[in-house]
Amino acid sequence: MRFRIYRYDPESIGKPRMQDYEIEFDPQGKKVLDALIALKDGLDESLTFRRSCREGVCGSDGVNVNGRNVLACVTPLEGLKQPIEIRPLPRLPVIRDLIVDMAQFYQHYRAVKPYLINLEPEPESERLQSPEERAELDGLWECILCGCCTTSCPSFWWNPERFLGPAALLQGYRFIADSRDQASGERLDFLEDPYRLFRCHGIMNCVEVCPKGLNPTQAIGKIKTLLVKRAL
Amino acid sequence: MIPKRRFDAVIVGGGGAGLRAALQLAEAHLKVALISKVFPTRSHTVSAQGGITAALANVSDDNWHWHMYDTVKGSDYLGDQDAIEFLCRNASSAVYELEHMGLPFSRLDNGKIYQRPFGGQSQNYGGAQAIRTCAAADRTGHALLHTLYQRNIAARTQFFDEFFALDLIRDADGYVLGVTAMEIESGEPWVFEARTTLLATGGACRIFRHSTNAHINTGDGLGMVLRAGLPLEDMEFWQFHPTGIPEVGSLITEAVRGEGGFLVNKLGEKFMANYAPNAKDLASRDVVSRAIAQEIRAGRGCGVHGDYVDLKIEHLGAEKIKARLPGIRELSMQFAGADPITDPIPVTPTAHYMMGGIPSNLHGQVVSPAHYGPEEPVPGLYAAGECACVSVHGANRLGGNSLLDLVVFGRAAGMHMIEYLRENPIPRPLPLAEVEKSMARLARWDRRGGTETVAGLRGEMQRVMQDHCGVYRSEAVLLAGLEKLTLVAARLTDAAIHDHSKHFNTARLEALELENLLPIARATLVSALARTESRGAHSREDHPGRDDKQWLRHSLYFCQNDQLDYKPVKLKPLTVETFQPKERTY
Amino acid sequence: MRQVGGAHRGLDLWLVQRVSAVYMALFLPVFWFCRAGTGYTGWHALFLGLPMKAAAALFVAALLLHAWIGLREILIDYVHPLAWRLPLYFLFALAYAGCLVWAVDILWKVQ
Ligand SMILES: Cc1cc2nc3c(=O)[nH]c(=O)nc-3n(C[C@H](O)[C@H](O)[C@H](O)COP(=O)(O)OP(=O)(O)OC[C@H]3O[C@@H](n4cnc5c(N)ncnc54)[C@H](O)[C@@H]3O)c2cc1C
Ligand code: SF4
Ligand code: SF4
Ligand code: FES
Repeated sequence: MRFRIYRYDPESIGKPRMQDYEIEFDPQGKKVLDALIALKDGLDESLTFRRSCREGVCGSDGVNVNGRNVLACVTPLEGLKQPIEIRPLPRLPVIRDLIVDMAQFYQHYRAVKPYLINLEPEPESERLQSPEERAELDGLWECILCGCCTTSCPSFWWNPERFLGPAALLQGYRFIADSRDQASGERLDFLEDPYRLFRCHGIMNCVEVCPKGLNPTQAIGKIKTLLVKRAL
Repeated sequence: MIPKRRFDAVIVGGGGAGLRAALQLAEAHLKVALISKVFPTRSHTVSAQGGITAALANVSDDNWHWHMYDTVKGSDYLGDQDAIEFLCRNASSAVYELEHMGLPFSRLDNGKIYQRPFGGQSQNYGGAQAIRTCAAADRTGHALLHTLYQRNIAARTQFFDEFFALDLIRDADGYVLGVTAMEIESGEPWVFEARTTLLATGGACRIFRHSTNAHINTGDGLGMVLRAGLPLEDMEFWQFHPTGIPEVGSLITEAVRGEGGFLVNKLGEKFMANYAPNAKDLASRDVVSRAIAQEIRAGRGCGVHGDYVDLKIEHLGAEKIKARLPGIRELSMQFAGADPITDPIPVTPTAHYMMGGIPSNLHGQVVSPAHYGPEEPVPGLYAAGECACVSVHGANRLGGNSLLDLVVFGRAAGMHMIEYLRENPIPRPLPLAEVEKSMARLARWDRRGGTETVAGLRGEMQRVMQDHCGVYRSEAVLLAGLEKLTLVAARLTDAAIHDHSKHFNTARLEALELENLLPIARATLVSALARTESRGAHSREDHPGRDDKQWLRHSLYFCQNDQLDYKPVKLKPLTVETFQPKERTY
Repeated sequence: MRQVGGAHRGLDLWLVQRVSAVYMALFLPVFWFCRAGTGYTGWHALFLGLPMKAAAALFVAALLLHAWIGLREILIDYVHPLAWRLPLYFLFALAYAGCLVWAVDILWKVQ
């Protein structure tokens, strides 16, 4: 199989370049991550990428394969056009090879106060929540913070410092939607901003790439609806 | 000069255990550093699926005594009953606390936390199946890990993400005063000085070729402890989960059987009835794994090579599968090419969980024989989570008890650390020689040349462990394994890496991880050879029976000369009556 | 990063953009429907009444507002220095306002 992989190392590779690799590898049933590991173990130890769970739940290995942001560990090799071109996630600073600096991404996540705020005294047992209320959280809490969506969003490319991006907004809505949270007003105050929220133009790139099948655009729409409701 | 930071507490590991402990300390306004080799939500806890066990009695009649009985029995009586009482007694409050933190548990119609049946759970000390495991769909670990991380953000814990801990810093009097670490991005060494250090580095199933564990589960904390001259406990006990996807290793949670799934062999027989007439598919994991292994041996496995069995859930219907087991469906389609709504899932026993680990007590203190007994706390050192051996899981862990272990003992460790810090306000001088030693170990990988590769040696070690230390063991097979492993380990001196960049050098990380994996594999083989009985997950074909007279005790392995020591199982609980060892059937 | 509250802006303009879009979407079919005949006389008749004059003027206003907000979005995306962006807003606002005056003038000239 043939691969073209983005290489960069501030120390040994001054300028980013694409490197070609070819190995014997039976793609049947295998994923892109398997091939990356085979390349690293067999051909080139210096090839650098993140990985952990190897089953699409930890969000470590977001990369751009043939122009699309994916998790390497759940992307089948079969059916990919060769040479398979693998690049780091777009727009974030590259630390080395396929590893990007996610600091900005995490900062936006922290900015939405991603934790339950409820100042009532805690009851002896659980706070009750009906299955319907709980269903409001489905499609929100499953986010694995892989960054595939945010780095595919043109609005984020243009204003990475100020637009929160789909992942952070999804998490922002995760807590607004939680029947146990008491800070919706505060959260909406924070989000009502031409940059943080209103940079989203509904381009839907985020929905298209999310490996967990989540829908940030819809969540963003719901935040806007709540803002309108509140304003009227 | 190596950059040095001083904290009250340094926590190595950002999984469930590390985060829970950090939260306790940060909320007490202590200075906490949490170092993790991956961004915390990438820790392996995120993979946990089925749930966390606590006798909330939301669905079936239940109480913590029954939970305790099941856990003791599940451990094949090797678990320490004081610790097990502590675990089960604190389970409900620990789960409610998680709910208050915001964990999005699935819900029952009455608004309470959803619970599902898991293996080895009973009502009334061995009676009808209990329904005890609290779940957030089949992504409970994800929900738990993210919630704890989020609380730590709120509590302003200081995170050092992508820092790799190297060694414990221990002075001549035995006090642990922090750790050396490497900032992965820059490759620069750091010293984290603290009066208390907690290891929460998770499991080490990567000693095996096929495992349900993440690539990062390399048991680094265990390596650090061995290098510091401290022992590891019960390393012969590794849980083989009955239902991993063949080859890939991805886990199919027990919740699938809890929700009504069952196993069949190639003849379509529901064979579990032959091995566990009452509990059937929900027998304890060691029992189900052995049953599958026997079916496969008897030629009744499925597929061309007859090397797996089928797990069927079609009868649950698409609705229920999508609502309760969405993650499993996703995994099964991605890695087994089977949609469980229409097809059976192929499964086989796969290395899953390390029951043994760093010996510790109820308060998370690491204990080791020193002057007066086997349970002497090592001052300043704590351990919690999968890397620790309290021991609550004994010879076999029950599903859903590990997540519980993380939060109960993570919290307990945090509380004891606060106390320790109050009693020991003055920092002791840092032994610089220890730091130097650690740096020398790191520098060893700067050498060039070398005839062996890290990946090659790791692969060979994994094969040895897979072939020689699986579900069934015997003296001859274990001995042969130990011989092979000795050869592999000897070749480590000839290994070198070819990437010498300082920046995010993952080749070097993998080398350092291999240095931790090899002694763990060795500890496993040596401990397994010595234990001439079958108990829980440790099945010796040459010693098929359980031998309570000789072996109702924990193994302690020291890496100096492969020395083994033993300490008795604590049969006396804190407040209730002892559960006397008896024959274990399901 | 220092956290400040939201600017409490963005929502108003976003709303105006939606509302103007809705108005345009409503106006166009109505306009199409009312168009009695072709040629100058038909057009002349149509725009003779005050309601139609007002509705058409509103349409042009909505169109221009919509366009200006869209343009503002694009400027925020691409033109980051404030020293450039503000004058551009202003220039376009001026130009659009001019267009509006012109359109109203044309409409009200229909006698
Ligand atoms: C697939 C799967 C499903 C499971 N399902 C369940 C379930 O349903 N219920 C249940 O109770 N249990 C379950 N378990 C078991 C349970 O998930 C684990 O035992 C538990 O999550 C371990 O948590 P931990 O906090 O001890 O460690 P981990 O979550 O593994 O975290 C280890 C941490 O240590 C850090 N670390 C390691 N080495 C270093 C180093 N050298 N330097 C710096 N940091 C380091 C890592 O970065 C990581 O943050 C499951 C396990 C698996 C494999
Ligand atoms: S819908 Fe919004 S957030 Fe998603 S890609 Fe488009 S602009 Fe970005
Ligand atoms: S929303 Fe989807 S793509 Fe975006 S970070 Fe979360 S899981 Fe990844
Ligand atoms: S390695 Fe965890 S998501 Fe791919």
